Amino acid sequence: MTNEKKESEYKDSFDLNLPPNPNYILEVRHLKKYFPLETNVFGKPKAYLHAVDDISFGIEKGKTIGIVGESGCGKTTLGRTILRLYDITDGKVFFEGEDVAKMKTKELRKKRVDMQLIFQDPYSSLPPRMTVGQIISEAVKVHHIVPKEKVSEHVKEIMRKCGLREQYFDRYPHEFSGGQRQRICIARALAVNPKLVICDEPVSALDVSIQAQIINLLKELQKEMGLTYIFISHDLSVVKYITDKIAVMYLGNMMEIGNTKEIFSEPLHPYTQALFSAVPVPDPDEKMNRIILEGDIPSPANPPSGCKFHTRCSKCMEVCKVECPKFIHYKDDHYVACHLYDEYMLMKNKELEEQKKLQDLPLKEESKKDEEKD
Amino acid sequence: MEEKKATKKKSPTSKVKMNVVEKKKEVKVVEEKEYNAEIIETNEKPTSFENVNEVSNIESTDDSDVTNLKKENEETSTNEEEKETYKEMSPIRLILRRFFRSKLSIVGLVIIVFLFVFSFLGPTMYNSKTREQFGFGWDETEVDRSPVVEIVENPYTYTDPEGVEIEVIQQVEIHKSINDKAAPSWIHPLGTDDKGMDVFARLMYGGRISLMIGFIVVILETVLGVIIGGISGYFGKWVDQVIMRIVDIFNCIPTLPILLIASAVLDSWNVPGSMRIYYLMIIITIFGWSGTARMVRGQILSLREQEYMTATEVMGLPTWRKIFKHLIPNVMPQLIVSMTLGLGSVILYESTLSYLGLGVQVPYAAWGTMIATSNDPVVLSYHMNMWLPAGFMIVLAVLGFNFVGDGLRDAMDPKAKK
Amino acid sequence: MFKKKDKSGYLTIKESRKIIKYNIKQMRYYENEKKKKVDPSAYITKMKDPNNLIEIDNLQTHFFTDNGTVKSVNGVSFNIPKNKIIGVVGESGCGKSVTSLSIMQLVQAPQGQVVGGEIRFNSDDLSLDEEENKLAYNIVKMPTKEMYKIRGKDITMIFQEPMTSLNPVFTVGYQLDEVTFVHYPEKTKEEAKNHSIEMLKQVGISMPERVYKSYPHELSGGMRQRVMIAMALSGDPKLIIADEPTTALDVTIQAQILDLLKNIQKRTKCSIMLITHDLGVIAEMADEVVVMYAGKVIEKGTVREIFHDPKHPYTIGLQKSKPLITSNTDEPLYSIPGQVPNPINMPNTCFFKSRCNKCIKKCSNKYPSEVKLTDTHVVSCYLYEKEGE
Repeated sequence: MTNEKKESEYKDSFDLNLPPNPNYILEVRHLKKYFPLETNVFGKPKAYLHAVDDISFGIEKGKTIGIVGESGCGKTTLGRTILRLYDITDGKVFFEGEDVAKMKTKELRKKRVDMQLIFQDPYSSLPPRMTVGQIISEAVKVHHIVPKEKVSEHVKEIMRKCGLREQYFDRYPHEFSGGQRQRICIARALAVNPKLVICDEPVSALDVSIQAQIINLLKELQKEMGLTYIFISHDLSVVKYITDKIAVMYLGNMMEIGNTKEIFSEPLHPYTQALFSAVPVPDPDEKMNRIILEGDIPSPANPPSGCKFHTRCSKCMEVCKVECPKFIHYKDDHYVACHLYDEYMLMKNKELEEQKKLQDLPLKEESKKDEEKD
Repeated sequence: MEEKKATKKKSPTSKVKMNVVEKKKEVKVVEEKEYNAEIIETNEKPTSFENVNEVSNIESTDDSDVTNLKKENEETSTNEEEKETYKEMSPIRLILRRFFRSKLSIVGLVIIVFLFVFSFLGPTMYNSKTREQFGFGWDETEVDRSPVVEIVENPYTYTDPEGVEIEVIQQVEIHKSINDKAAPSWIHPLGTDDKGMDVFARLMYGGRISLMIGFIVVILETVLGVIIGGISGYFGKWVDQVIMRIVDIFNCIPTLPILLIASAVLDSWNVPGSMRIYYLMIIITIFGWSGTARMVRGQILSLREQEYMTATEVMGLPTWRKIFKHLIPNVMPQLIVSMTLGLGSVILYESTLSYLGLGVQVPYAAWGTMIATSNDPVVLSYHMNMWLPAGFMIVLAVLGFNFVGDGLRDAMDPKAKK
Repeated sequence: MFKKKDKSGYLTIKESRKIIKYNIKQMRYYENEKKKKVDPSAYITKMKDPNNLIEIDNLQTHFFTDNGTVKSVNGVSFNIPKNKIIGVVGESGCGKSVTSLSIMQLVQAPQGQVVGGEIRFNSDDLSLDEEENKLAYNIVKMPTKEMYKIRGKDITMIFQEPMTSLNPVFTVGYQLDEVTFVHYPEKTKEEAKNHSIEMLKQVGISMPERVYKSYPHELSGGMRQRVMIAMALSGDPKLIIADEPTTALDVTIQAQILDLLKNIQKRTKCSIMLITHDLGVIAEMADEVVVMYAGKVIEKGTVREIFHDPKHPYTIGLQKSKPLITSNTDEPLYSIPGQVPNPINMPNTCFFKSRCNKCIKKCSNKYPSEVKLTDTHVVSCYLYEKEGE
């Protein structure tokens, strides 16, 4: 199962001291975002919510990376932290060789034009008292993307590309259905000619027949404008269709990353396996061997020790409760953070289990109780 | 009926026009059949009406009916997008409809319109010039100097030395150079006050002052409140903390004692009567902005969490644009409501201050000052016409603005859609 | 030029006044109708097939809104057999939820009214009549008071939002006991508690005593949905209506809940009406499927018929437009053009006509009638209508 390369850790290639990798348009290195939970009398936080905990990945120009995971796993926070909508607690985000984390507000404002965000909810993400034309042209005017006299021409061009009719220019968002609104959102994001678009669940609020339209539109636009996407979604079938690379997140940690085809053909991490098998397939005769995970997702405010997934993992070992797994190279571009694929840890696990056996019975019962509490 | 409408509307392509008449008949027949069936099923049901939308249905069946099938598919897919925006009520009409659904808000609106007509148009038709022409009307500060002879009868019994009681009526003739404290008559519809000025005319001018002060103060309050509340809500953190504590302080100042002190101060400064109105406005504004500021802050705090505000951040828009283009317009509905409700309370405030002698002063008319005449027990018990109308007007004005404000709140609240 | 066109999307004053007048008339009529005293004979009818639990026959539920009459449910007919899971699929606004609310008599009045059709409920309270026909309640005509006896006990509902369907100020136990008392008023407090804990055990909650004492906010989404299911089960229902029970949940939790629902159905032998927009969920769970579009049933059949041999272009399109997790294509997805229609201005033709890629000339005629392909498979489409019909 393991090969010679297993020693090489994924995270080393994203060392903070290295210069930015020219292959990547966006490179995220050891990104951390903690939200303060409680503060003491002096306003200093006592506890943190580890929303994004040490995430690293890179994405080449024109490609799409999918970030999947369940609610509360920090995928939305990750997207917004990359845009620095939230302050970065630690780590670096290189966008075209520049560190976003260090930018000043003014620089950032200009840089943000190149990085756009498409929201999940097309209803709350459009200002209700502006017309479609105003919404789309606002940022174009502010950032002088095109000369003044060409603004309306440019906006109409974008609208046409996004499948909106010119007549909609003077209408208000409330006159449109969800799918059309999402098109307006996409038009607004693309009007400033961005290079990177972060799509935060862009289709999950839409009807199935409309979803396909939007996905096709996103794909077309990517080809036409050479866009790079970060596609955040919990809908695995959509992610599989649209992405080149997938990162699986669980409770703020990255569990597995690799090429889409490879991950889907050979999911390594027990969580990835369970996640993939849980997706219902629209075929009554196809009975998948479903792995039903026990229990609920733990609260990110109080994550379990060791591997964060060990409370629900069916292949949980002793070592998982203690040691946080490292990223292990499995194949080409496929990395996984699980002790099952680490020979050293498997050995350590044997030791630990023998130790456990030697211990007294009452202690075991105690640890069981602890588990239940989790 | 249907036919007329359908032909009135422009059909999208000229080809379609040819087909319209034929097709329509077909559709109509079908409709009638169904309609009959419905009637048989339930006899008592109210007759179905020709829905406006059905008319457009006929049209839509027509335009996609161009013979070439493949072409039709393409065409319908584009046509479809246009059809998809079905007819609905425009947002403004929706608000109006919800507003007029409540009877109280209509009453309020009538009251307000009446007040405006009464106090702003009234004096143009009721003044000293109209008196010269038509025989009625007085100015605000005009004293009725027509000499009046008032005969007061003083009955008393007199016992003469023989012990016979004689009833004597003593007649006293009072010659007044001013017709003051007159009872309502044709010349003075509501009588005159203790200085001989026409109560009816003063009522109208008092309304002018009250409404004007009301509007100016409310606008000042709102401007102040929006700026301070907006800053507080948008920047948050310590800015918010500081401003909100200031608001708290303003909320705990006991207003009345401060006002009495201010009144004394103004007296000692010898501020002329006409200037007092401006001081009054400033004082009311100072004590009134905090409520608006708090409301605006609350609204902005919740609006800031909306995704379209995140979108403006992503777009890299400058801060002023975010506040004034995106936040403030969305607070407008609530602002309008709070302004309307505020008008009532400002009028009340103004009357109180005038009553206490802090505000508008004689000879200038204000409803508050007019009520202040009731300080004299004689006036209070024998000359109701001098203070009751003013009191009535205050109640009317406050009620009117509150009714309209409540109606607006219900109409503009997006949550109250059902 | 654009400014003028702007207003074409809005109703004129005259039009909207007309609509409002009509609505008031209609709403008053149906509200008065409800207040009338009804003889039991008026709402007791016969089942067509005694093996069915519910027979919905030409149900029409309309909403009288300011923008016109929304025909949310516009002549829907299907049966829910005993001991089966029926899946109802459709996009938002197709009337699938309103159908279920009509069964529960929970349509929001006075705007929403059931204006026609029958919902026959095969209750055990009623026996056979002289001609050996099974008697049934017609829920549409039933007075509200009588409905209380059925609602929550024989027919229960699980909602989409487990976050908002539990009252945050009471403990889970209190709310469960409350339901128990409604169904079994003779029970003591202790018995009710035991019953509630038993229900919590049944839905796979490992520590029922602890959950019993906790407040809803202390539970996760999946747990809350389990509590909702426990609540629904407490009256020993014959039909559970699950309205998008897993839409708000994560995939792994969804798998748990679906598994649970399936087990419960097997154990208690009740029927489940599963409403969802997710074809995958339907394929896994349902025995029979009803596909709805714009207030009409366009196709119904067994799960295999619908998924292996879909007939209606909409059903076909719906299945094709969702990328499969099992396939590896890179071609553009098939997508149904246009938008989900708003059910106010429905033309008298097939509602799907304008989005359909198999449109034929016949489609311009009035709405197609149901065509029986097999005993169970029914489709409303001109493509399958034989000549001369």
